Amino acid sequence: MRKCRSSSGSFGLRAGFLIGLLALPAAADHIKDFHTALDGLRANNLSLVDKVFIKDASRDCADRLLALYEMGAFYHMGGDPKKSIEFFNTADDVAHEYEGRAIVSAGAAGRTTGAILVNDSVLKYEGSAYDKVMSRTINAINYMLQGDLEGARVEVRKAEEYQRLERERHQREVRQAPPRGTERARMDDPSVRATYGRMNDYVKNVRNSFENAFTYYLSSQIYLAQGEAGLNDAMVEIKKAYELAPHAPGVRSAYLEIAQAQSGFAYDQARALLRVADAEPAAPGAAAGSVVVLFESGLVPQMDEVKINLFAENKLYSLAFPIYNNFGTAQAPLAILAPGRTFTTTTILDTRTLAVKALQERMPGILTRGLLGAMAKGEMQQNAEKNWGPFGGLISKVATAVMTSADRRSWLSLPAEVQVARFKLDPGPSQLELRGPGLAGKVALDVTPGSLTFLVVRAFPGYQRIDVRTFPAGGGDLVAPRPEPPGIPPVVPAPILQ
Amino acid sequence: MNKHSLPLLGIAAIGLCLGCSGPVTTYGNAQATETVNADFGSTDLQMIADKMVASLVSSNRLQPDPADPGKPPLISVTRLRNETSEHIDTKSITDKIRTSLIKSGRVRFSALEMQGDLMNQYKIQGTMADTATAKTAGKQTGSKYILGGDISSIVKQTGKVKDVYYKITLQLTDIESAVIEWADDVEIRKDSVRRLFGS
Repeated sequence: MRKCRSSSGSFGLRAGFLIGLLALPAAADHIKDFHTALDGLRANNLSLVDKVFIKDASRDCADRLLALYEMGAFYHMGGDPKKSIEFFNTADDVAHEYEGRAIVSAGAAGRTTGAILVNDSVLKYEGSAYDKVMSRTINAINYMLQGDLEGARVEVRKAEEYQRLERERHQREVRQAPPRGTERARMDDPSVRATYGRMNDYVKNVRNSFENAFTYYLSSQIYLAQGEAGLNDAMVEIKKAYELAPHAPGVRSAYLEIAQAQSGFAYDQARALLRVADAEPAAPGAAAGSVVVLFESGLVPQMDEVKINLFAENKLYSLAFPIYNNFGTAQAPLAILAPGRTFTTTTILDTRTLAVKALQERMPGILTRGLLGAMAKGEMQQNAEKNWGPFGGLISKVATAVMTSADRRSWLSLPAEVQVARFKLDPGPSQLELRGPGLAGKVALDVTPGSLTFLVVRAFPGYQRIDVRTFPAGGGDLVAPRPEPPGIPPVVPAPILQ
Repeated sequence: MNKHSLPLLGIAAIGLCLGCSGPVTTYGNAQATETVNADFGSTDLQMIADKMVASLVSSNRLQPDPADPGKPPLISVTRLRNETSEHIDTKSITDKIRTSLIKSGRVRFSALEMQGDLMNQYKIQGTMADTATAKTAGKQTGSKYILGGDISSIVKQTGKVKDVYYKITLQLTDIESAVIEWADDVEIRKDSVRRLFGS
């Protein structure tokens, strides 16, 4: 656990330098705290999560938003949606506060100065666009697991609204950007291209970091849980998911199913768009119940650091940039064994691509601050040598080398991938068996005609959790007073495989 | 000023400073316009309740129930459906409307939300109370109307300007005939502009 770093705005260069020194181990501390919390989750001891994150989460400091996101995700994974909602809703308020601050903010200007002199860890963690979308997406799952479909719909609307506003802002920026701006030119520098080439290749097909097909897919399923009333909204959302992931099997089958439920015309249109042969898919039985599997698999990778030290004119120019070197491997699917049939999840979201894309989008600013910082520190070394002699110069060079570090902070408890499956089961009791690498479990369901069951599975090495929530046919909206849900079917705990 | 008074003054000054450092709490006017941000707030809630109540009371659509003559009609309230992208406590809106309507004396309301508590009372009174005064289930008055609706929003943002539009629709339906006897909506538009300079 570390001390909450100040985020006071009215400080000058000297104060910025000092605060920067305090911020020095920020990313390393965050990664260490994250692993402590992870151990706590594996040991079913969420108090460790509180221990490492609650201090930052509850006061105005640079890492507050990051701590809130981590806590929300840990409580989500730990099976406490109520607490997870509290943290995500507070995170939402904090993010709003940051977004709404003055365009020319003394505090932000001071922190940027500090970031130039030291490193970007001085800056407030304001959250990447995908952080904001994913926090609302996970929160929608939290509300849904609590049986609160109205709350879940609010969250998916928030996610949709954020993605729309970001898309509009992005389009404005593209229109206003000069054809070859300084920052863009800097990204085209051969050394930068060589360093970040692998990362750029990894996300070359990713449109942006703020939109993802899973959020839209989840929205469509949450609208579907409303019954007939949610059909149109479900269609709108699945179309957006299809635009982003036209080849994802989960999206395609959901598109067809929603179109089929909507009308014969919509179904014909969808079949033509998806180029589906007449034979597939089989018309679902009207009396069947639907099961949606949301499989949150693995964890997003951590950022690494690229550090460059150059000696020129008796000055040390030190530069450090964040980079993703290790993207991890593709997550294995989850097999769901139903009586007489086996279903398999397919990937709908690779969160790693969003994380890498977000870093790529931030790189021009990071490069600019890094270069300005290197020049400012070079000047400081020269002044130190002039005022305090060679020893002062040496000390300032050592300080420059030590202080220069990349801001590697990112939300680490997000899943590496989200995979989905959707299938129908005949009414009556049904036993499902889940099998995946390092994951095994059984779920007993009591399927009623037209019901919609969500199976939320979270797994990463050393941890697994399965939660189930069923909504009755025709909409699961529970009006006040909200009765307790009919009960979560028993989940047979499986041995945790290390 | 003698030399002994200086330390006392110092202590008093420190005390004053410490006294000033705590949070300052004041009472505000609950009816005053609240413009902290563009999110749904107390002023919106009051505005909706006032306009809806005035509209319903002046509509002359409230008719006594022939099965319950001589008394103002009985209404059941359902929760407002929240179709916005904010977590709004819609129960506060319906509570405010219900309270204002009850105060008008034109209608009565069924305690739908208290059915659980009422059931407990029936059980307790059925075993513990004097049979002469014990209240039993199955004697509640049936409502003539049901009051319900929804609240939706559209959010637009261009640069530093955020525009939020809320629309709240309420309708009163005759339960027996399923005829919508009254409906009205209230529209609210709020803009928030990011300041150019600030802390």
